[in-house]
Formats: sequence, C-alpha cells, structure tokens
Amino acid sequence: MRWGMVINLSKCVRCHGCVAACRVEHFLPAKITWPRLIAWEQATEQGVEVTTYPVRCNQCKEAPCVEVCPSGATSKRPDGIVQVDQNKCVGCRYCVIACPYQNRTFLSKNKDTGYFPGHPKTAFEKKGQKLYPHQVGTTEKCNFCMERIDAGLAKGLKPGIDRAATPACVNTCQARAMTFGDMDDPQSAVSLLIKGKKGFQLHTEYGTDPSVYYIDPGVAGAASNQAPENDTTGYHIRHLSTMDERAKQIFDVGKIKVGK
Amino acid sequence: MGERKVVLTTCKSCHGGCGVRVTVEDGVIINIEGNPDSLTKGTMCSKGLSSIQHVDNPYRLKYPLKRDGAKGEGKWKRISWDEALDTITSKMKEAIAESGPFSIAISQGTGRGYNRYTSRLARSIGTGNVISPGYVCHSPRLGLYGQVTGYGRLYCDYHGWGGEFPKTQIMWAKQLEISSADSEMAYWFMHSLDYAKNLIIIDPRASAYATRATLWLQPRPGSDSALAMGMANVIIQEGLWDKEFVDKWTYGFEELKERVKSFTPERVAEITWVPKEKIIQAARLFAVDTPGCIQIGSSIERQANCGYTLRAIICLMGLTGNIERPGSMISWVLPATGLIEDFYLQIPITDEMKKKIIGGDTFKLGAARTCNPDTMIKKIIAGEAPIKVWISVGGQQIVHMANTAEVVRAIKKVDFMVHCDLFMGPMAEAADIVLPVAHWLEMDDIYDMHPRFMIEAHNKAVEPPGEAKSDVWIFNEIGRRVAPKYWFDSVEDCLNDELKTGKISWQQFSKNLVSGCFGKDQVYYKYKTDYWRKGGGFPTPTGKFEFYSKALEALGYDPLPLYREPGESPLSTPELFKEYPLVLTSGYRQPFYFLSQYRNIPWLRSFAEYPIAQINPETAKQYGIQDGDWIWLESPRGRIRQKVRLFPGILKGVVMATANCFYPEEPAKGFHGLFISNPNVLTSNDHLDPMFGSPDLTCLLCKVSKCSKEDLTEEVFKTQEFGFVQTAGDEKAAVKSR
Amino acid sequence: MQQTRQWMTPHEWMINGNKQTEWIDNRGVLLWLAFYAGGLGGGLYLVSLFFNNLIGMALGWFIVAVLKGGLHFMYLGKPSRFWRLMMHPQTSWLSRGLWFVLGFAGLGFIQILASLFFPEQAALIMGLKIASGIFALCVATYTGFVLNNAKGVPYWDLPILPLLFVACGILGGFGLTVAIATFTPSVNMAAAEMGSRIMLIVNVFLIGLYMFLASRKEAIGKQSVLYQIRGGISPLFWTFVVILGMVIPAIIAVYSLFTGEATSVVLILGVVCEIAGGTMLRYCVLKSGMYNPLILKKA
Repeated sequence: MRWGMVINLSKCVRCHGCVAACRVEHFLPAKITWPRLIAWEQATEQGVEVTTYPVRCNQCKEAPCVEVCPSGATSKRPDGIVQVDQNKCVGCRYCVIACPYQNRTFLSKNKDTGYFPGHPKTAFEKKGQKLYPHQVGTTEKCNFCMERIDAGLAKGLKPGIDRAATPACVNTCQARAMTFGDMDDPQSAVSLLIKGKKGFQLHTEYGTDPSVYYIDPGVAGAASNQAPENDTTGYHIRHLSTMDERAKQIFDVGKIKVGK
Repeated sequence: MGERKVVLTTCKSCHGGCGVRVTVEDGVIINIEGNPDSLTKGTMCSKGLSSIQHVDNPYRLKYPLKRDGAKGEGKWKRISWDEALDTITSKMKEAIAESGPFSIAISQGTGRGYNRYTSRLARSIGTGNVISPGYVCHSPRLGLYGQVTGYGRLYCDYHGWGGEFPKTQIMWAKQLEISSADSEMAYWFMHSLDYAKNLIIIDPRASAYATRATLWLQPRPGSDSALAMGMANVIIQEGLWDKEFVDKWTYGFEELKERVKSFTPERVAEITWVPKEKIIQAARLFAVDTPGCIQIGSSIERQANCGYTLRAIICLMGLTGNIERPGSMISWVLPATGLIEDFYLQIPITDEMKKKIIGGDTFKLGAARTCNPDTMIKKIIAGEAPIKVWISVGGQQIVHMANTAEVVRAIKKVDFMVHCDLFMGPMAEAADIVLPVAHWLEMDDIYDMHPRFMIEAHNKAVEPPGEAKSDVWIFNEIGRRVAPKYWFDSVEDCLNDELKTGKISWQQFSKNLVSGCFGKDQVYYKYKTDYWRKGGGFPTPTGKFEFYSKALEALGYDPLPLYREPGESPLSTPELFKEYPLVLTSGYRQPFYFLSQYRNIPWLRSFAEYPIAQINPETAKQYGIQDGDWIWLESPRGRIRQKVRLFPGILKGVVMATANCFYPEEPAKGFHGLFISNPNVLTSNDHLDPMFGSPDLTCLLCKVSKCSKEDLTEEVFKTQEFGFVQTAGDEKAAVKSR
Repeated sequence: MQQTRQWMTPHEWMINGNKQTEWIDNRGVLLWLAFYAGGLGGGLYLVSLFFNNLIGMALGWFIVAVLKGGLHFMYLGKPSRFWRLMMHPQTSWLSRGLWFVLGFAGLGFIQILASLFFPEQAALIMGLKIASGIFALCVATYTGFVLNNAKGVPYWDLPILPLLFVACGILGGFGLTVAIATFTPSVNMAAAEMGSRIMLIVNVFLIGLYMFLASRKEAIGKQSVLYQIRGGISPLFWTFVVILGMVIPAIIAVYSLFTGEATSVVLILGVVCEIAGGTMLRYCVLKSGMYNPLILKKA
C-alpha cells in the first residue's frame, strides 16, 4: 500500500481552499502553511500559460528528509506516508534544508504569533492546543491527514473514496482537482489517472520518487454532453414534503416532454 | 473533551450558498467543512473556511457605537441597543415629518440574503430610495432578460437535470470558477465542464481555463457589444441560426439582421482587438455545438453601455435557440416556498414612491425599484436630494461607487447615517451610529439563491460576540418602531412569515435545511407549454422572444442592440487617449477576497497582501516598470498606487487593476486607506448607461508611472490627506522576502 | 487596527530560485558560527599535532568541544533533546558529525591529559593522537558533507565542498599556530609561516575552483555565485573573504618572506584577517545557497 495524490493542473483555479482547509483541519499556527500554491505564468511559443501548482509534502519513496534526520523523528510509515514525530524532533532543521521541494517548515517562536498578533490567542487556537498540539522548536509538514486515514481505515472506510478517510484538502476542492488513493493498486483512481493522463512528478532527477503526481489534460473537449444516469448532482437533497404538490399546482408535469 | 455538536448550515461568504458542516465544542467552532449532503457535495473555498477567523476576530464590532468626534476621526462611544434604536427611529420619524419618507435612503451591499429586509423597510415607511449595487451587478441582466423573454431570471443549466449538460459554454467577462457569483456555484460549473465539448472564454485577462479553453477571445475592455453583434452577424450570414426556434418563437429577426449587418468580422476585429478568425470561430461553435449557454460577468454591467451589450448577448442566446433547452439558458421553477422576495413585494411600490425614486425618470430600467446611486451622489452634492437619514447595511458604497472623492464628499453631507457591519470600515467611519452585526455562523436566517430554484437555512452555530445581532433582528426592530403594521414581534415570526407560501415553519425548515426544485422536478421548454401563456409562448408583449423589444421601444430606448464606445476609450476620446495612453479595467478579483471584504482576515490576507495591477511585460518595459514595483495609476479624477505584476496574459496597452480595495488596518482618518489603492478613485460617474445608470467602472483610460521610494515612505504618506500605505520596516521586509 | 503584514506571498514563491534561510538568518547565525568553529578547531588540532604543540591542541579541543558544541546546542529548537541527534548515524551526516565531535572531545581530552601528566607513555599518546587526529579531520570535514546532502541546492551539491572546508580549517589552524608561535618559542615559527603560505595558496585555488564549478553547475548555481560576487552579499565577500582573507595575508606573507621577520603585531593582524575571511567564506556559502525552482520553464 502506498498512498498517493494526483493533482489536475487544468482544474486548479487558485482558490486556496486546500490551504484554508488544512489550516482548519490541523489548527495550524499563524504563519505555518502545509500545502501551498505556486502561481506559474509565462509566455511560450504556443501562447500564454497560466497554471497553479498546488504543492505539499511529496511523501517521497526515497525521502531525503528521512535520510538526513539525525533524531529519527522523521520516518516513513509502511503505507508510504512520511511523518514527523514532534516529540522526538530536535529542531536541527536539517530536513528543512535537505527537502528539495521546500515543503518543511520549522515552527519558530516568531511563526507562532497567534492569528491576531497583539491579541490573546483565539478560542479556536486554544482548542487546537489540546486537540492538535504543535510544538514550537520542531519541524512540521503535510502528513496526508494520516490521522483521518488511520481513523477511517479502523472504521473500514476507504481513503480517497470515503470522505472521513480522505485528506481535508481533497475533500474541500471545489474544482475536484485532487484525487487520492493507493498507488500500489493498479485499478485505483490515482493509478489510472497517472497511467491514462500522463502523470508526472516534480524534479525526478533527485531520485526521490514523490507520491504526488501532476496531470494537465486540459479542459472541455468532452466526447458527450449527456448526463449519465449515475450522475448524482443534486439528488441527495432533502425535499420538502409539499414539493410535489407545488409542482402540480403550477402545471401538469406529466404532459411535458423533457428533451426534444 | 467537551460537549460536541454538529451544525449544518449555509455559507454566505460570497453570494454562494454552499452547504456547510460545523463542529462546535463548548460553544467554540473547532471544525468547519463542506456538507457532503448538499448541492456542493462537501466542497468549500478558502473564504468560507476562513469564517472561523470572523467569529474569533478581535476586531469585530461587539456593541452599538455612537460617533464621538468628527466624521472619519475614528472616535466612538459605546451605547445601548435601546439608545441606538431610539435615536435611529426618532431621527427617521423626524425626517419623515419634516421632509417626507423620501428623505430616507436605505443602502445595502451586494444582495446576500438581506435584500428583502432593506426593501421591506424602505417600502414599509414609504420610500423607494433603496441604494443597491445591483445596477453594476446582475440587475441589468435580469432587467433585460425580463424585457426580451418576459421572465427575469435566466441561468445557465449546469446540472444536467434535463439529461444534457451544455455542449458549448461561453464565459463572458466572468471567472465563475473562482466566484460562485450570483449563486451559480463554482462547483456546478466546474462539474459541468467534464461534459462540455467547447469552452469559450471571453476575457481580457488569461486564466487557467482561458489558456486551456477551446477558444480564448481577448477583447479590449468596453468593446463587448461590438463583439456580440459581430458574432450575431456571423451566425446570420452563415445561416447557422436555429431556424425552428427563430421562426416559431421569436420576434424581430429581420430587424436584428439589418442592425448587425454592418458588424463584419473585419470591422469588429478592428474595434475589439480580437482577431477576426476567432470571432468567426466562436460564433460557429456556439451556433453549431448546441445546447450551449453564456455566463455573463458583472464586468459587463460595470460599463456605460451595459444595457445594449447585454441585449446583444441575449440575442445570441435566442439566435441559437439556447433558451429553455436542457443544457442551455433556463428560468428555473421555484421551490415550494415560492419567491422569498415576496416578503417585500407584498408591499406594493406606489406611484408616489416611484416618482420620488432618484434617477427614476432617467434610468427607467435601473431605477424602477431602487434609486440610481451615482445620480443620488451628484444630487446630494448639489443639495438637490434632501437625504436626511441614510441607513446602510453591509455594503461599502464608499468603496464600490465611481469617483470616490465625490462619494466621500456626498456622504459627509448626509445629516444622519447608520451603518450595520461586522467590522469598522470606510462606510462605518462616515456614520453617526454603527450597529454590530452577527456573522452568518451566528444567526438564524433564510438564504435565497439568485437562481431561485432553492432556498437554504442559515442555522446559528455559535453565539455572536458581545451584543451583535442578526440583520433580520436589526431590521425587524427598526421596522417595528417606525412601521409596526409591517413588522413582527420576534425574529421567528418574521421568518415564519417569509416561509408561509411553503406551508412550513422556520423550526422545520431549519432542520430540512433546503427547499428546492431539483432534478426531475425541474421543467424545460416552458414556452412550449401553458406555463407562461395559454397555448405556449413567452410572457412578453408579443408572446415571443423579442430580438426587437417593443417594451424597450415604449420606454424610449432603442429596441435593438446598439454598439457604443465607453465614455473614455481610445476610440471615443482620442484626445484624452494621447495623455492617458492605456486602457484601464478594474476587473481583477482575487478568489480569496469578496469585493471589498476579507482583507482583515489573516488567513486570507496571507494569500495576497497588496492589491495587484497586471500589466503586459512589454508595456511595463516601456515605462521602466519591473515585477513587484509599486506604480501610480492615474486618470483625470486622481491617482492610486498598486503593486505591479508583469503578466503575459494581458493585452499590451491594457492595465488590469484590483478592484474594491481598502486597508482595514490603516487608520480611520483616511477612511482606512480608501484612497491608496482603490481604482474607483479613478473612475468617472459622468458617463452612465441610459437604461440602468451603470458607470464605466471596468473601462476607462489611465497612465502609469513607477512610484519613487519617497512615494512609499511613511512621512510622505502621513503628510498627505489620506493615510499611508507602507512603513519603512515593511519595505525592508518586502525586499527581504523577495 | 494595526495588523501584522509580514506574510509570505505564496504567489511568488519558488518560481525563481529562492535562498535558504533556516541555516543563516536569525538564529541560523549560531549554526554558521558552529560550523566554522568545527573546521577551525579541527584544523588547529591537526596542525598542532604536526608541530606537537600542546597549547594548540588544547585550544583546538576547546574550539570544537565548547564553542562548536555549545553554539550548535544553542541553535537547536529543542536543546533538551540534543542527545537524539546521535540516533541516526547510519544515514544522517549531522548525526555522524555529533559522533565525531563527541569522539574527538573524548579522545582529545584524554590525549591532552595524558600528554600533560603521563608524557612517558609515548606509544599510548601516539595512538591517542592518531585516533583523535582522525576524529579532528572528520569534524573539520563533515559540515561539507552535510551541505552536500541538500539535493535542491546546486551551490552546495559539489564534491569539492568538504575539501574546501577542511582546507579552510587547516589554514585557520596554521594561522592560529603562527599566533601561538609569537608567544612561545616551542613552535617553529618559520615552518608555521610556510605552512600558512602554502595553505593560503591552496585555499585561493580551491575557492576559485569551487566557484568556477558552481557557476557551471546549473542556472541556479550560477545565480548563487553571482549573488555572492555581485549581489546582496558581494560587499561582504569582497571585503572579508577576498581582501581580509586573501589579499592582506598574502601581502604579509610576501613581506615576511622577503624581509625575513615580520613583527608579531603584523603577524597577529594577518591571523585575525585570515580567520575573519574564513568565517565570512562560510557565511557566504551558506547565505548564497539557493534552491532550484520547483517549476522549470518549459521551452
């Protein structure tokens, strides 16, 4: 098993929802951000390119941070997630330096100013100190919401499919630009996307083998505009009991042919 | 672990309406996420998620305040609700007794669930002078849909409920993917793209979608009407129009054909700066690959030719038969609860009220129910509009209206002003009494979608800070005191009344969360049934979709679309163009801000600290401007500073400035940095659309120059009238971070 | 209503090469000094072994064990957990470094004590000297390997870096030895000066070679070099590393070579300049470390 993520660059619209969801989910201190967005704008011979790269810890298979960590605080779990044990971290920042993707942040005192510097910490932050504590003086990074994955698996849920077992950023993405799942399973959504849509990793030359892939298949160009039977947009909604009555009041629904 | 509860509610961080699931522990929100059991499937953007920092924000207004110094001085004294309400109502009664109810103006921000309260309060006291930003956002569209199709609300069918998704989508001056504007949720649009064959983006600025779309048209800001008429001409000349629909259900095709004849692709290319091949291809795609829909952005409504531009675009929908088809433009069937707007429509607008609406005699479509704000500003300055009391809720008229300097001058002249808001802001600083309002996570209320196929419930998750109250409570309390006949004993009674059409109580609705008409309950091809008219047809004077509008003709307007240049443009004012050689548009929005809101929310501010102006690298080179510089943008009205970003995705000679920005952290004195970066300092309120009175906010002329170091130092800013932008320390930090 | 404005701007982040900050800015200063102290102390100990200079050995030991150890300890985010640094010598150069420092501190301490109190145990002392000498070499070298491991920073990813660091440490060691020689006749001044001269030439050559290789490494490597010689830290580089660290010592060296004897004031001035140059070289290397952009321009 190896958890991985595929990010569709054609879909990301730079809304920053993933960043905010992560801050909520992990009660992140004021100036810590686990996932980030990189704005990429350039003129090429083909025209203008505007792309947003959502980046987060790549959970590398050959993780430089695990290699350089002198304390054993950073380790790789059997499911591929690279995690930091805040109780073991010494705060040497070697991993911050060594991560070629710059996805690790050292939580120093001046990054933990509170959301509103000059004011007491907010109620949300205070709750966070109990529910998801962060230790000043240690290094942190995205952990693919491993707490959610673990809790979900314990309940028999499937990460990437069941919401409760899926990372918060994936859940909140309005563009549905992110897909999560098991990269070792050739039939999983992530594996199929990587294979079918030419998934690529960032900076393969470092030999890190990241678990975050990117695809850029473009927008539109759909073969059919027919709504599939199983498309459930809008069907899981509670109706008012008076709805049918109301529809009947307006006109006789039965007489109207829908479609041509 | 404390006691936990889960509250399901509805987001109102933009026009939105996304389903929200909030986890509360001991009265503190510990998690907020999308509600998977909603039409947005549990997705949420950064604005909604950052609501936590609204609820916890130490800068929130907690108590009613009374001004204790000059306007804009920032000195306030806490008062009780009784004192506040008594003062307001006695001032209102005084004004009514002295000068009549028309001396009271009620203003609001963009319509997010309190339209019905502002309008009901206005009508219940007998004034029609409601100030709403609708005339630059959404209302012109609705007004013209009403003239052309007889039904005021056409929306894109992103749902596939009729079995088909749009095959060709046009995004016209809109980035629906980041805005959820008009409550057409970004999620729905992005979902429907999975089924779209063609995506055509018409936008002066590149976006991720624009650069990947089937076709991207990059027009000169303000030239949209020519583009739309050019496309119509191509469709007609090439015989691509929907013959069945046009023959049977439309009126005035020949006249339209004659009108657009001169808009050849060559001529349109010259006017709009769009290559003619692209114009032809866009027209062909939209006409051939049907069904299709056009999402219109409000940037079009911020132009002084907005009425005729919209007319032209709506004609495109008619020509291609993209009306009421599954996957095209559709007017949705209302939910069982009916139109929540009935809440104010119940009180009919009298002829007397109509007559006294400011601007009503000139702007017959825009100022029929609400006044024309720009006219009002001018009249207040001239002393012709005796506005004695101005009650303002939510909106920052002072920020979003054209020609900020004039707006400030006018607002300072108003005798008595009340502002209801969550935070101190430019509008609040100009008020006499400021009332603290609850956030949407802290109130019980009903949320009505603009597309009107559903309404949703705001359920209170946590208690508001201090003595903050919900909008409905405040309006009900004021209403009860000045027009008891029309208002209620309690908020719950009020909400029950709004829901009475649906035969449902607030208590039950709050649990249901949603009342809507979805899926198979929706009905397409209504004009082929008795829905609007016995025997079929549209509810228009001719019973048809009107290319040639008799109703507009009767009002004294041109019955057909018309191409007009903006008040200031390279073509309409060539002399001015020599001095101000760049086209300025203020259409730039960041997805994590909503209009003038959220620059005081740390999580959101962290994404872009300063307003950004985008310039083509080659234009920048001409002026010696580099990426990250602060630049001056200057028009005949004034000048502002914004941070520049060199952006290849914008035409040479065009500047895209971030709209609606002030600095909440700046001192009250300069109205929270209102004059530092707000593009409306530059815009003009002299050129107004003849139908709706919309000013040219998104198309004018400007010149740019690099700010010198002295322009950014604290000392220089302090000696100027309007605050400062950046301290020396910040400058150092900015350099460091680069 | 004053709110903080020092926020990162993610839109501009990592499109261009951005500099590492953790190991040089703010408290990173401690790490920089600690790294240089390791090189200097190790180098001094090695040179002192050559000259059999017990004062030098003791000073070298002090620089490594107390200064280097102390500074690095102070730099840690969680100093009370410092012992955890030893946990992963199998992969982590930082962990190995701590073992080298500990090994050197222990053996060097015993060696110095033995040399002081049991000078007759020649074989034992020689054994201790060889062992602690090896550790001293490791202490002087390992910081180069530490930096080598940062794959994203082309400026550091050069095999010549450990060599440069150890040469720089030995140069400092010779310099300090010259300084000691001005106080005590037990050290051969002429030999120390000659060593100093040779190491100065070696150093100049290595710095030149390093920057040449770095500038050809990748676009960002070149950017790092340009930042160092023309960018924000170029005044530091030219004043400290070149003028103080190379030109002045070279003038003194040439002067003393031709005039025979320089005054001890001039010599000590030269040593101070050399050490200042070495310290700032370390600073420049750390400060100019720039990451490869995450996204590379497509053709």
